[in-house]
Amino acid sequence: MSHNHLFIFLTAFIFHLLSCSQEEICQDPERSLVNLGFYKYEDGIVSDTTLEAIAIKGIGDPDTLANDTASKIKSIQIPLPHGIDSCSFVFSFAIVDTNYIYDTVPIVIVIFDHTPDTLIVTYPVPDTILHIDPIPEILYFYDPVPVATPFISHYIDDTVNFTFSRVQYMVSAECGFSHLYQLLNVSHTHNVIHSMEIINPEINPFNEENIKILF
Amino acid sequence: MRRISKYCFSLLLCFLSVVPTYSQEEQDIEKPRVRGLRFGVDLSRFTLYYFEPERTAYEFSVDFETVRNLYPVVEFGLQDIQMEKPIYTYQSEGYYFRFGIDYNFQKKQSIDQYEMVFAGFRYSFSKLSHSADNILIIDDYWGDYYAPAVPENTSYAHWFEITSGIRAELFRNFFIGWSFRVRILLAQTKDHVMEPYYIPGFGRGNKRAGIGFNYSIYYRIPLIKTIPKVRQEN
Repeated sequence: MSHNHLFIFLTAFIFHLLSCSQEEICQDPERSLVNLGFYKYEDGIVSDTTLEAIAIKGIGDPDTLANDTASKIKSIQIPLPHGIDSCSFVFSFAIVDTNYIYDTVPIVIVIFDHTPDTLIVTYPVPDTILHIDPIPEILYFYDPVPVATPFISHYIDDTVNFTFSRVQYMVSAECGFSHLYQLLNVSHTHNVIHSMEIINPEINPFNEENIKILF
Repeated sequence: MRRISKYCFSLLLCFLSVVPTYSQEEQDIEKPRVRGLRFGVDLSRFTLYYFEPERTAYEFSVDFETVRNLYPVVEFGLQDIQMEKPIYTYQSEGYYFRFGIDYNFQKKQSIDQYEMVFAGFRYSFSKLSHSADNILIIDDYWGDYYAPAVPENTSYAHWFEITSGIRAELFRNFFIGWSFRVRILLAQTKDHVMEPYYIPGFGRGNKRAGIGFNYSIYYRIPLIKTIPKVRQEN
């Protein structure tokens, strides 16, 4: 055996040992979530809609899922439990007052170096002290303009019950086990929700819409 | 990717080192060529204890030079896994066979030299049984859940390998060498509950292809001494 062969044998062996010493960790703990889409139902016609705010809480012990942050919500994902075959959620829908509150806010336009990148900054409090860094070339102040803010007057609850079957599976060696679900039935109260339609009963990690909620 | 680059670097070093040996002239044609079953043990499997303590594996090989530079090969291996994680415990045991042929490209050497720079292929299959228990599913919303155990299940896999490497005679009938392998999975038992963590002889169960290395020592039983035809004619 030549020295070259021995050297290469040992070199490759050491590289192999080094390559073995890697610890893999769970990068993406996969979870199957129910994807709910919100739709408006009017005169038999279904159209897209958004909600100003919604709070969802599982009945039992869990925390509130979505808080009442005022934003346009088109869909939401909720987790099903691992140990039982049915669960209920309370959906609290924000009711928006049609009388909008109109605030007046000053608008400041800041232009740096006469470039097209115009930075528009709005300040809701008229006497806010401006801290602009770097100092702009031109600073325009405009008269206050009215801005409409939606006003959430109260919430109305609907209770939604999900019945499903579960299949346990190993996500990966690093992340362990989870469940795939199949929706069997959905029932609900009718305070705000008009109806719910299961369009895809397979609850998996692929984020396809499972249920249409019609208002 | 880092791992692959290390392998490729090692492979490159290998071939750079052995190329000059092609220039050896055929000499001493009067000597016989010894043939016999050559048994090998893969040394790299013994390092698993330090780097993958949950996995125990052994691999053995037998080859035989049927005609000059052509070596049919049978490889056999065993694997046992006892993996304890905070969220589950996994057990697996299995075995595998590989069948194939190695061809030695290093032709310009004397009749009693057996160093090899070879390439070959393998058809391989494995069988394993595995199970899992103490399964904990972490759920930050509804609360953690202790799931039922996954009972013992049997799984099969078939794959194809292309291999290349070197083999050198350390002492008379004692060899040492390594081989680089590229593996492509042909078929595997579908198991929607739990894929094998590690397919014996192949690699991680969630991969469709893989690479591997073997570092082996061999002993050849000198069974047959073949006299070169040139000498017989004289």
